[in-house]
Amino acid sequence: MSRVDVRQQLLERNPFLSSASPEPWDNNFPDLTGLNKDVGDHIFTLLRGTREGMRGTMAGLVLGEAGSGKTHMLKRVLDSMQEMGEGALFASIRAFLNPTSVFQDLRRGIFVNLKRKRREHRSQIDFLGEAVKARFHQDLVEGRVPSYYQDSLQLWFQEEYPDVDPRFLRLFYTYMDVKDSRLLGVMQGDISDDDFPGNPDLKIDDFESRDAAQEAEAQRAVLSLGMLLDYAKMPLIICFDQLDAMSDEGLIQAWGRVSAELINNVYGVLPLAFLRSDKWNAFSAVLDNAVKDRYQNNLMVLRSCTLEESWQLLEGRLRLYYEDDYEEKMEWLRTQLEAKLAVGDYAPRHVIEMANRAILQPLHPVRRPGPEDDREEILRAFAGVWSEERDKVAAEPGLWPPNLDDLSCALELWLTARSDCSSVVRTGQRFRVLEAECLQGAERVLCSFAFCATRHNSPARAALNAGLKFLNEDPMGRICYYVTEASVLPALPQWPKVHELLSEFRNQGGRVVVLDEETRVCWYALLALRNRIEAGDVRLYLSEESRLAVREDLMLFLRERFEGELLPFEGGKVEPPPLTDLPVDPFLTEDWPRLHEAICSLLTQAPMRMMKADFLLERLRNQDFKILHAGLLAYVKGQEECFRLWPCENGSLIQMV
Amino acid sequence: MDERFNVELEQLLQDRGRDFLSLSGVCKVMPSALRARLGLKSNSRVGEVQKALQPHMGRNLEIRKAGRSLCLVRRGEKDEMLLRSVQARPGKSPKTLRNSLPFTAAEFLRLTNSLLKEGRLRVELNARCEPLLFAVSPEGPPTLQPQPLALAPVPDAEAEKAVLRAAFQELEQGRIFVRICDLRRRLGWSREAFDSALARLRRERTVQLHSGDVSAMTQEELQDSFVDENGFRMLSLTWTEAR
Repeated sequence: MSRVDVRQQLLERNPFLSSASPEPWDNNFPDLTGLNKDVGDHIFTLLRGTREGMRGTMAGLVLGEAGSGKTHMLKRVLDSMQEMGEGALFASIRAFLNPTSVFQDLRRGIFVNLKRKRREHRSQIDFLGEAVKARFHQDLVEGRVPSYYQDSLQLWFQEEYPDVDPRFLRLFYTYMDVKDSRLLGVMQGDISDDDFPGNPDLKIDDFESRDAAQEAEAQRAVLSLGMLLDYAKMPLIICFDQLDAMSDEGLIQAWGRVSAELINNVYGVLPLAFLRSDKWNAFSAVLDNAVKDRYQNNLMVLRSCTLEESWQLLEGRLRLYYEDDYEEKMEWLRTQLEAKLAVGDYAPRHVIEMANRAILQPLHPVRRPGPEDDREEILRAFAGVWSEERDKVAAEPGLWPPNLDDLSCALELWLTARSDCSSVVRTGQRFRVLEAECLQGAERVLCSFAFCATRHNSPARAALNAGLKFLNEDPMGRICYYVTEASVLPALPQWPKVHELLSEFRNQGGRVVVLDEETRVCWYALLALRNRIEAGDVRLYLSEESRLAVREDLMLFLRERFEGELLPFEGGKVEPPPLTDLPVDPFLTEDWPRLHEAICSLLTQAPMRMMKADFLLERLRNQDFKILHAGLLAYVKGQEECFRLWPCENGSLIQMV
Repeated sequence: MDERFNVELEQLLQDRGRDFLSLSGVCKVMPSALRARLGLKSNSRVGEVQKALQPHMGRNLEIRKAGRSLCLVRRGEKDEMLLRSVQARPGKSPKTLRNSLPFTAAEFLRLTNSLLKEGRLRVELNARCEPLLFAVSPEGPPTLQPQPLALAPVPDAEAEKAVLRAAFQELEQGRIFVRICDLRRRLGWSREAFDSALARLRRERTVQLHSGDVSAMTQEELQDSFVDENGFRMLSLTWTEAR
């Protein structure tokens, strides 16, 4: 086969298109166990130490530059834990966005991970519940627990751990008995406990006190979870990844508070921070010395790939994509990269990117790119990363539960980049978060944005009341958006007061935006894109140099090429959204068995049993399936034994396994 | 006084972004033609250098003592000079700083206390309760000023590596990663000499170079980073040889 043919094959199915490490739970890329083995071993030593002394105070710090394999190291930790069986639990926590809700964000992050399936379709929290029950049973048999507690595990636990939060404990045991996933939503703090009354703190009407109470409740929940871990002798590794996105001093201090609590007071957890070295220096300047020292006591540094490891990395990816048909492609890559890699050791991402460049660059370029091409290169690179992030969020909506801070952060970015909006500011209010001046026709109008992202009806009412108050101050000259998610706004007859307020809000000229599964993807993917930029995960190949993308590049992309419309703004004019009822949930309306059959049938006919998601969606719609893009990706992702998703330049590829 | 000498000596300090330089350093880094005109050799003794330079000091330059060394110093606002030194090397103890600056003990005390009073310097205590000095910048974190060792690149590869390593260790201070711009400024070598030394050590797998957050750096710091043969901009390095 000629060089051109090999390159053509690689272009059609490029294993190196994405250099970002996927979420540890979804990372199918092969692991180079020799690379940074010392770091992996150190983490496992810490894990063993935590298991042996569940009330110990250990923490670890992994420093590595962008692309050095920090997120990939999480996959190694997770894989090794999977191999160990259910002996430990794992949670990967993203950067915090709001210093006043860090414990709530931590709790949410932990539960999002505990809900993930590990083996035999059982979630991590199932393993924890079973371990607690098994330990209790063993203690009964061996006489450490009096026999009259035989049917009262909860009662006994309460006496053994008097500081445990009784509400959290009750929810946990009820969940273990009935396996109702709504209970996990309540434990996570995203669903109102109206159905499970008993927490007086959450009945407080004053929202500042309520926020503080919720934060305190989240902190108690994390402490209580630690007691369950302690009893089950099952440590939980809490990995703080993408912390680079936190630059605000208040946020870093808040993260320090969370760390101090985890290290000093929560049993059975091992916090690990993954950071770039320059960011750690910035963190060090702000953090309390006690916290800083705890992390630095177990400092690990990720190193780059040796030449041999670089070849192994490339070969591993080729084998994953091409199985036995990889050797010729490897040979081609060797000739392309031999001289480049001889320059020195490179981070894994550099190696992947060099392979990608070799594949994408034309063999006989018409001309060498100049500075005038840089702008186009930035936009092209961002378009690819954007479609990758959009499809990742669509495929795994559970990783992005409704979150007010995430939504407001995404909107702030989007508004800041728009030429028809100016003076985008945070109001400091809990539910009416943002204000901006927006062009409506030729006039500038003050615009406010209220959010509700929890399935609690009092915050929903509070956000609407805040919006109404804003509108009433100047009924003719103001615009207010109320943004919420379909999953947190139940239809009538539930929440009659909220629906009454919604009508009033609309009558006053307020605009209601209810995000369904499809539209919410844009919001959360924008935040994911921003996190990738902050973490240094996007590289730009410009005419003079190759550098990491920065916020200004993101702004350029949002202004020039971003296709997602977070709100219905058009042509500099704010258009009223359709006053339709709540969007229909695509997951409930589809005939899944028939859809499954149709997908299989279409993919079987496709070359390599593989098709672009957009194309497949079009073919399905031609067959009268009413599925949305996000719904298709989420469905395919949930059927891992049948289908596989591959990142591709402009959208994902779906392959039948 | 020969005005030309005076101008050339001042230019020497200016080119290196320095307020002062040890006399032995001045002698080593000055162009050989100037050295010859002053009747000096690259290995001339400090006393000889002092004797040769003294007549050309004028209003803008002077020779002062910094710790145990004699230095060529640009006259100017002394408090600004002290502030720049702290910005260039934040977190130094007052004692260490005093020994490295061309001030008398009384001058140093007066200047430091006055800058502390004005809120332009601040003090932090380290784990041993020793005071450390930091500059307070209204515009954000202080930027590092060039602080070269004023050593010419060493022709012998092993010696070159040793000098680089010594500078690396000095800047590292337990942080493992050292910014390339800081190392470049610390050594004060020509751009070509520094880049080729770094590329050689990297090819030998003695050091690893890493990219990083360009948005956290000033334009000057970026210019002093390193773009490798494959076009990757590298911002920091780690020493791997001992691994």
